Amino acid sequence: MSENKVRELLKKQYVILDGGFGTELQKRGMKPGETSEIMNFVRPDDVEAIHRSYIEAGADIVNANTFGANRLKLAKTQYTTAEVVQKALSIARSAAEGTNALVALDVGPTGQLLEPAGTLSFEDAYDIFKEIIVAGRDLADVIMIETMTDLYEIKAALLAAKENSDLPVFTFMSFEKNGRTFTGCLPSSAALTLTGHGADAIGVNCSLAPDELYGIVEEMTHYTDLPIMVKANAGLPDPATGEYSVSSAKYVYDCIKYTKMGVKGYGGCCGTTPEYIRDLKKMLALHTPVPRAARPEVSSVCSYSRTVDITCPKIIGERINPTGKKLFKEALRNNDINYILNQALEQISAGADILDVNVGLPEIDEKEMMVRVVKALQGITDLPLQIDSTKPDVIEAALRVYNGKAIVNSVNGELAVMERILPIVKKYGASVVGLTLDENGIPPKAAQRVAIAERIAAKAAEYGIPKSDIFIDCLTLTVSTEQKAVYETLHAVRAVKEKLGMHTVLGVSNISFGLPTRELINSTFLSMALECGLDLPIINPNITAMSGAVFAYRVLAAHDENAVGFIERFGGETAKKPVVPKAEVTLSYAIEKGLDQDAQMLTKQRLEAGEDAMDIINNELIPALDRAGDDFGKNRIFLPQLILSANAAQACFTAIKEKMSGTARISKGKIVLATVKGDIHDIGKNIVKTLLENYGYTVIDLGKDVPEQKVVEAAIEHDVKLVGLSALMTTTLGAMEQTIRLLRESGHDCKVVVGGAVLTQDYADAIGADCYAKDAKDTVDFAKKILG
Amino acid sequence: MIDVKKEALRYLGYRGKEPDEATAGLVDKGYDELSAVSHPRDCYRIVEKTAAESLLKGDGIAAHLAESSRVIFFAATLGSEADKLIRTAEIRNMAYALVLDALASAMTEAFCDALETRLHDEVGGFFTWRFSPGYGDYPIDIQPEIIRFLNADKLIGLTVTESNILIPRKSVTALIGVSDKEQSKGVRGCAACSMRGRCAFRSGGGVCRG
Repeated sequence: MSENKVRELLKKQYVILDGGFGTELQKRGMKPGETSEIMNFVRPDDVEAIHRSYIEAGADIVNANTFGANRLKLAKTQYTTAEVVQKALSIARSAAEGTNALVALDVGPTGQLLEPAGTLSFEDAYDIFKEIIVAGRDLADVIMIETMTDLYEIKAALLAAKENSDLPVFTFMSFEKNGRTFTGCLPSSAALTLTGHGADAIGVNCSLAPDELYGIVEEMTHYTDLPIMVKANAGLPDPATGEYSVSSAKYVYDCIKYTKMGVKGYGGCCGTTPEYIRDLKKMLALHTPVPRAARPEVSSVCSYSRTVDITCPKIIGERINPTGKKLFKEALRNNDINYILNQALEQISAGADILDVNVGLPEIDEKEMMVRVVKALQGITDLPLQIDSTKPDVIEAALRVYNGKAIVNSVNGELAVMERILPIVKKYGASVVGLTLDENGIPPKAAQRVAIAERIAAKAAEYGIPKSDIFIDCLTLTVSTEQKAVYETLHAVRAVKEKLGMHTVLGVSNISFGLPTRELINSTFLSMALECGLDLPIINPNITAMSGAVFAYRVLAAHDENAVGFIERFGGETAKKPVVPKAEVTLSYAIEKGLDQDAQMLTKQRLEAGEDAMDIINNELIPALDRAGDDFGKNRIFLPQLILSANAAQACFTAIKEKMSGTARISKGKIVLATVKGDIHDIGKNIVKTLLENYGYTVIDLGKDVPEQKVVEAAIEHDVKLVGLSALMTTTLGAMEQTIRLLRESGHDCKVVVGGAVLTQDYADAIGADCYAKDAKDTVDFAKKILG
Repeated sequence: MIDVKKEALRYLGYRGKEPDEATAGLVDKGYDELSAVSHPRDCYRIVEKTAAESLLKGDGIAAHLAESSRVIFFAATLGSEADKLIRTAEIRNMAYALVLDALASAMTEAFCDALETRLHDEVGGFFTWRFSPGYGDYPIDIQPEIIRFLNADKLIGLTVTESNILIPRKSVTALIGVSDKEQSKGVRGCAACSMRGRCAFRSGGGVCRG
């Protein structure tokens, strides 16, 4: 019923929303800092009067007083989410009775930042929103999620709304003058992601005045066909008086421009009053919003803070993939997420636009690893991700926690595969790679592959996935075995591009399998494919000949205007010279001085000369690190230099690992490290980790804000003899004490070393630690004592 | 105004000593990168002391504001971009991450200094020094109430975790007492500090304030 009412409303030329609520409550006596949701109980008449005043002013929808009705914000009140939501909605219903006005369940931010910036997990945020939706779904006509500044948080709220109710959902984000939200979200990313996840209307609210939001709203119109809504602030509040600066007359005058942009919904946020809504209604009667013009079909993918439009060839980096890589497989088995993040950072600096993510390995839990890696990647990079897996549950888990619009790699022409994967692609608003093969394998002829591409597009259309969100892979075969097939692939690429009007993607590196100097074949084939219309080459961008071919093509095909991108990437680059250390630079000198490239080169030379790896470690690396540590203890060098030495040692270890991988393990023992529950100051712990690793210990890093029990479980699971705990706040020392107590109670035999700015020897003794480490070097010394 | 680079080096332990070339290079690079990505923001409210009583807990704050008639509450943040830069550096180069962390702390302090100057021009009168939650007996768990009072999550994107840590990490909340008369300043001293007895600066013969 209500769904229909809202849909009918959206068919009108414009929709009028309500205005400021908190500011209206303050006028009626609520004090700043007071919880406005409590007013539903202590001032229900005032709340109802405000709703009524907006309805009388002309609002088609009023928002119930539920903005902060989440369990985090209500924790210090005596009310539950259900009580507040139901009371607020019944007040709004009562105000709307006898009128045509609809009632919205208003959902605001949790007030906490989500991971990785903050500590609230995506899953917990979802649960918090779900509680609100379930409490209000039977009493509301529509759900309005608003004032969100974190795309991840609004995604959690939108998913919770879509999965737990049938109500239409309007989503609003708040932007700043720089065109982004506080967390860096772009209007384009917001529009793409929210549209993809099934919002019924999107918009902006709060933070700025109407005349400061034009550019943001304009950008949204390029990335969505959904109705757009604007609820601006009446300027900013005065710090002393709390008065807002923009009058109703100016507010409404500035909104006229939105009617020309085809904005559908008009209302107000902080500082606006029923007067503003009344004046808006008058204005809209005179300036009917124009219908929005048809949008050119552009394919785009995005993270929360970067939108990649496929308007010219973009590089998909292929390196996050264990296939054929010993070290990568080892990293997956050891949960070494940093190794994977390094693969990402390397490709980013080499010019990748999108990162393919494949963590499939038979002996690990692919789903769990995929979720961890996706979360970790989006903490350090804003490149959009391509989720690469054959398993629907892995793909869905990854898309669920992805903060943006991803690509799914892949479906193919086999009906069963499409029926499994495409609904997931649709639900999470992703793009998808379509491989031109089916249950009969890869067809030899270009025309047959084009036919499969058409089939995939037709099937996707049934699910509501537009052609612009499908990237067709015409499949590269190996030239050494099927020389004639190369042109079939290229013809297919051209036909898909020109006849079907679809974008194409292609894994390039396969072409040269079995041939010498593969780079030559790869980069030549890549250039040929680009000229045939390849949009998304999947390559190793770290090889300059590969990424360089794409950069060069963009210049030659006049995409890179004035070669700005090319010059930025390659200007000033002189031919790479191999590092040749000066004769006087010895390995131990290089480590002490933090010369990582020299250290690595010297290590390689000595390994190649046949020197034993353990000898290098014990006779050179460790003593050099010890000397640096000793200098640090005596204030002759300082922490950054000590860590630079550790970095240089790290470079040596990398060289040794590459040489030894798969043969012998070099570890002097395992150590569990954690920053205790409630604490997120983990830089000190990470310094300790760097140092320990470079002394040859294997560190199981549990991260920050680690629950007590998790430390105990890890200690037992990995059978470690040493656990290191850090805390930086007096308020989290309790968690440290509790962790130690549980470790002791578990009966697991291990020593505990503690550190962190607020700790002292006395306190460490009092909470039962075996060692107090005043700095990273102390920890290493203790580790040596315990583990050798 | 503090020299951010020098102050960062001081946090890193270089008390008066010149940094080595490698570290100095990291400091220069870090300063430029942080300056490029950070979006410092602030918000504040000025109220009569009597109107702020629920937010003024403990003896330390009472003494601090003894001669003040009004109180400025403010919140300031470098923004989440700085956090992300540090987080990313931790993957590739821990030394650089450490330098960035120190620089970001120094920048936050410098931003607060600049804000205080601006407030002084706007508000006039005589100021006490800045007093923050966690200082002396002013409880850290007042943090959520200050954030709510300032509407800081909406206005500048500043939030607080359940264990009262501000996020973005490089952020400050503080209050300043305002009087029409000169106030006996007191020292922003070590006596009231929660780090008293375990302070790395004092054990090195200095104090944390430059």
